[in-house]
Amino acid sequence: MALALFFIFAALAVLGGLGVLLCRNPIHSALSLVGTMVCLAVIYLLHDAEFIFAIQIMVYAGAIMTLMVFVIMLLDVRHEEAETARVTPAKVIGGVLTGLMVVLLLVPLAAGLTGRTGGMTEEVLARVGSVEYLAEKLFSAYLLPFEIASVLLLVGLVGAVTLAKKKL
Amino acid sequence: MIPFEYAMGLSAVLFGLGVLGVLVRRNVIVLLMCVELMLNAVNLAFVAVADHLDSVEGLLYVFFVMTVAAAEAAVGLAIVVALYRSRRAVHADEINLLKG
Repeated sequence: MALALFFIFAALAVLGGLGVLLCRNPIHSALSLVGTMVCLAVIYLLHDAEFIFAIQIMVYAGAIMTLMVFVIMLLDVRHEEAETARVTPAKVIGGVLTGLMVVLLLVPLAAGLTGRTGGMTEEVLARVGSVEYLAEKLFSAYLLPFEIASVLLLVGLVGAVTLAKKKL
Repeated sequence: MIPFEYAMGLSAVLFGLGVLGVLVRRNVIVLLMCVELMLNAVNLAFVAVADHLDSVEGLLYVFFVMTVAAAEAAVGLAIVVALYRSRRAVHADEINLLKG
């Protein structure tokens, strides 16, 4: 059951990714990307990552993509795209190299994955749940990175406001 | 339980689509979207390995990657708006201010 769901949503995610590539209108690309992100959120759920599922929907598909769509509507971006249709040798070489890269990324998988296993076992998941366990780690061992992340968001906020102001 | 190879395969394919998008498309906003697609692929790899190794660290990294992605999207889009305001350009080939 989980495997069937995974394949359905994986196929939809790849379809959405192709949509981002092939759609002429940037707004269609953006909507395809939202579809991909929602499909990925479902796949996260299948991997017992409830918290990541929630923030994928809220932060990625919600906040970031709203910002993208907002900027697309703010700017007049209809006039590109004769360029995209043209096939140049550079693009063909880029496509071949990208295919090669994907194959190279897949090669090490044949060797399997070994590594130190962590503490999020089935027993812990059943006892405290993945969100509580994650929060416990986030606010103890990873507290400093968490605070730095909040400072980073503040810097991003100030940077965005400064850059987008009328008089630079 | 999903074999983690499948999720890693999907992750690699999505990352490849993102790279291809950056190479093929010339609209700056679509380029930013392709970068987001690549970040999503990396997040999927983190989640798959975290599930495979029963580890919570992978999920924490996803959290931090999302924070960085949010900041990146905000600053990147602000740069796009500033570029459009000063040069009327959303086409990557028209943006050559730093070319000697």
